[in-house]
Amino acid sequence: MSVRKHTSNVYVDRFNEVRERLPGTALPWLTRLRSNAIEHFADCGFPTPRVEEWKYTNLSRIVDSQPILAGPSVNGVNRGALEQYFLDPMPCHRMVFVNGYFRPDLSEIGVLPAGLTISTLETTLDNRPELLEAHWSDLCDLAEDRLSGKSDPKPLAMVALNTAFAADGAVIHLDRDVSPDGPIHLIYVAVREGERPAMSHPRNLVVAESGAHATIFETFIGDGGGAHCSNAVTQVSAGPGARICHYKHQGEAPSGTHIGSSHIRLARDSTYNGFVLSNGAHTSRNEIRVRLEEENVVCSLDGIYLARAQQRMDNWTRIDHMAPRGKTLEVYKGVIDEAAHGSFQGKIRVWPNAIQSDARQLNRNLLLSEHAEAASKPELEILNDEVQCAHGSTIGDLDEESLFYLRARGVGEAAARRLLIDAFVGEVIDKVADVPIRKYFRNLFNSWLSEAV
Amino acid sequence: MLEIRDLHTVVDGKPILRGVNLKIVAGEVHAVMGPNGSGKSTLAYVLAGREGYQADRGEVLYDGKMLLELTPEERARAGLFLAFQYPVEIPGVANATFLRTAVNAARSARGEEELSAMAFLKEARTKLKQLRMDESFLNRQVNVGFSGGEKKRNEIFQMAMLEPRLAVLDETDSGLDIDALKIVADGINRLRGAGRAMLVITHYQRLLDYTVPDRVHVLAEGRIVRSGGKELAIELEKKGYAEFSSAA
Repeated sequence: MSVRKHTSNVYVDRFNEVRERLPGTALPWLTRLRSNAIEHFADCGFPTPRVEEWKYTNLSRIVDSQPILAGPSVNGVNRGALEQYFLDPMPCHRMVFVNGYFRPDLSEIGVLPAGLTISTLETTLDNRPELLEAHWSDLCDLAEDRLSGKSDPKPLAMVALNTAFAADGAVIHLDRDVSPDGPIHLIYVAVREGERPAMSHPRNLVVAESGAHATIFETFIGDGGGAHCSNAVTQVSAGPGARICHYKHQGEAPSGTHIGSSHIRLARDSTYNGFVLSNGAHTSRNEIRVRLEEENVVCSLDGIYLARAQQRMDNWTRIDHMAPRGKTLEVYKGVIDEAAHGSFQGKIRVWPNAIQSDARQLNRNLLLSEHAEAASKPELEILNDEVQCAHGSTIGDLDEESLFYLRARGVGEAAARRLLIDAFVGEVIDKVADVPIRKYFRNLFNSWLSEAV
Repeated sequence: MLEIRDLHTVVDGKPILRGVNLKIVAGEVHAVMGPNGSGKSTLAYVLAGREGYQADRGEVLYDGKMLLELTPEERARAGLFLAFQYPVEIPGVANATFLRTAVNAARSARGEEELSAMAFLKEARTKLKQLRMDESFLNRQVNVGFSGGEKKRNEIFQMAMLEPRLAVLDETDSGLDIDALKIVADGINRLRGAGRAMLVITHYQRLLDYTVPDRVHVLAEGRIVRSGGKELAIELEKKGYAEFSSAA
């Protein structure tokens, strides 16, 4: 305990050093939020596996390395190195962030239709702070409520740390009924800064007013030249009848740490399609919290985690059905090779008034080596009788019978294994509706698979 | 083409095959019949190379090669085909993808050019038509949601596409209605020819009405206890296997 307190005190000191240089110092509400957040973090410290929600994420490796706070970096990244991550055909709009800071020279924002704003955190704090105030305040209730009615502040400590230090990020706003062509691609690149690893805190906000449609694609990558920690927070809000497709690729450098959380609020008749593919970082955690706050919301949440070597990949989701007639379909699949560890902890809570909810959750894990490990904890908490809910979970090897069947037809062993892994993952990738993004994930998976044994 | 010599196999610590001898010449169809538990399916698995079904003694010559030294895929590429008694369901893999991968694996092993998607499709449609099977077979996931009869017909379709030199059919007739049985028999008869041989494993004589064998063998308690012409199958149908079960 004392060690953890000491560690978090270092972050308080650092906060006091930089607070005046953070954007939005002239905004009292923000100053107050940041102070509360760092106090909260000082109380809780970094989450450890002793916190139930963080059971499968161990941050000691990055915490012990005492990362510095990432600063704006103008060196080390050129457009050519990023091109392999660009969508084909290219989207109209791309924002690139290096160590959490916007890089206009690497970004490309085309002609925006009326009613679409693509901006940075800093600019928005200057010219439209009220947009941020509403949504940041909303996340400031930094406690995880439990069924018992008690609450525990510890699970959200990393969100607090982000709130304290957030200096940049994407802010995207769509007026009602605005529907831009093509996706908005946000690329976050982590690069080395000096000897010690750096920690960045990108903070993003996507707001789609009623009837608007948006496709957001977040890509996290690293240059591999040293450990880095991304502590990213993305907030998404869909107004009545809005539709948001939200894709994410966690492909950080092998030595990196990725802590990402998405906080999704959905108003009546809205649709949210979330999809996350992880194949990067040494230690990663993708946390997604979705709230179906009003009636008739349709939500799909899909995840793929591809882990090998010593990678640790944790997926944590929480979906709250808070109003009648909401529909959720959640499918997470993991392929774990060598000595890697993959985990899924997912809870769907159907609130007492959320009658006629339909919630389905499935987690399947494929272990490719005898040293690979998976943990799966699907959970449904149903607080009314008028619902349809189902959940399932499997952890297993490649099916021996299927392998033999393929080999008995002349397909070589390695090709047979790849065919079965492809079938396992492919059906989730096929759910990606946007063709250029599906192609991106397809290529990524094919290249991962070609290196699999 | 195929010569099995003194084949012994232990499965899960239990001796199942206890000295099988069998010789099949190219162009012939042989039937292996026998009571349940006599080792018929084990014989099929040993020939195809399934894990856990290794020979403890004896050898198998296939076109002069030591068959048991080859991996399952090498055997398949050399022209051996096993029609499974219980075809495996493979979710997420389309029948067409599965078959094209298999056909092309055999082609490249023979040094032939791989079939393009178009050429494959054309070939597959022709074969389906001959077998009076629906084209939708190609798009469906391998055996997923297939009825028992559809699974067996899918095996015959695969056999037609792969054109094996030696086909081993493991109770492909079981559980079929008369129409499906005719389709299966027709598929077998189409492949009968000078260069090929077949080993039809069956419990009943029914299939042999449509696919008349050159030789019939009775496998009981791990050995071939009697061999004869097609009339032996009819005799077995009348008398059953009782005398063979007690004979050993």
